Amino acid sequence: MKRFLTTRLLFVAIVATAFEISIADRIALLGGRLEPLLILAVYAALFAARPSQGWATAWILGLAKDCGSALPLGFHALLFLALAWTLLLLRHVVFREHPLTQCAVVFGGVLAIDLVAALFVCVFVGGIPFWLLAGKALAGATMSAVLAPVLLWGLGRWKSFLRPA
Amino acid sequence: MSKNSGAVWPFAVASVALMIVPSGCSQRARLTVLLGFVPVRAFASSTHGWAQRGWEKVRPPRPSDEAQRQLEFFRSQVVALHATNGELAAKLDAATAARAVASDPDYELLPADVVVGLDSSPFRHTLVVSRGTRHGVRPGMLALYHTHLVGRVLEAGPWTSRIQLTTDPGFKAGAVSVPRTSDAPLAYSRRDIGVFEGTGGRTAILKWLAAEIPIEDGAYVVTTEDPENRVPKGLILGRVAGIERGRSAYPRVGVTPIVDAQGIVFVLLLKPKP
Repeated sequence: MKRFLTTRLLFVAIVATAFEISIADRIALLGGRLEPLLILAVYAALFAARPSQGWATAWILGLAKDCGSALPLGFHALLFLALAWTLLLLRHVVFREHPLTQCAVVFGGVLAIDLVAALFVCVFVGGIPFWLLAGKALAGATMSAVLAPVLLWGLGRWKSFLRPA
Repeated sequence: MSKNSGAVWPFAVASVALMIVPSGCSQRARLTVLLGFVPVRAFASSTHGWAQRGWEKVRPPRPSDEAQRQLEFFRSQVVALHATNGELAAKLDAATAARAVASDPDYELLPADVVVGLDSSPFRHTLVVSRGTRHGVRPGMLALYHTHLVGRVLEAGPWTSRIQLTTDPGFKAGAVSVPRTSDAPLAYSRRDIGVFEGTGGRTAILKWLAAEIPIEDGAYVVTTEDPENRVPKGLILGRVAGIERGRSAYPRVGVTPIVDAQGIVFVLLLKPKP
């Protein structure tokens, strides 16, 4: 069973936040970006020792994403919390160690969160053309889903930092 | 699970509470937090130097290399001075060019370095600069780069501000299309004015131009004077890149910004004089 210390995972989140607000756009595909913070939230939800640890970690990771965005503070925190809550319900019925499960979970999570964020921007900020919105969401979800098993495997193997004895 | 489900509600309530807090309060806190990434940037740039010194420890230079090393050090100093000189010259060039368009003596140009060049949401296009309310920055001020309009100040914290780029879905400005070649000069006031809007992608659109207005690919799109929002005329927004003339009465004109906002290291804020 994989476990982690929340504080240690949040140190990794600082690096992920720095990535998202600096170079994420340079390796974008069709405008879609890698979402390392969301992958960390998925890891927290899938492998938390207790549900409350999963929710709290995902919520803080969402707040970290909010810090780098012009969207309202708490917006991504709420979405990450909803994702973590769903995953904590589902994790008893899915094989969470399997790479395909991780791919599917991250793909669905990124797609759902991107679509909700795009809808929010369309309603409260300004319109986004449908094909641009759909392309960004699908490309971001695909890129993140491809990276997810590698990142989750790496986090699982990094016991010395995330789960010190 | 049902027992633990209760614990999720405080987080949900906290999220909603944070969302309804006025952005003037929450953005200040966020922009101040982002200032913490300035050392990270400096750390990244100095990492190269550390790596080089580390390599020298692994493979120390021979004594006869000492003179060569000193020479290299002085050369690097000269290069650094040249770089500083180049940076200052670039800022002076940009300010001179911007001043030629924004010629109102009631405004001054405030240079601001880019601290964070990217929004973490792929659907917003913003960047954070190192000037805030303590330097006189207020929401609504324009951000320029040479004669190009980069964006508008969305929120201002004490030391940093968030700039909404021209490609952000929330950005709107009055604009006209200026052909690359023209037989007779035409005053801005006599041109047909459209609305320039960001789309969240690499390009923006120019809307509400009448169908009979001649627009050509490659024409420049510039701002029109908007005294209420303190926008001077003639700031370049981009270049026409595709015109869709459907059955609608208004063509849809794609506009590509000429300046890549992700690549710039400073902007000039158009600030009213006190």
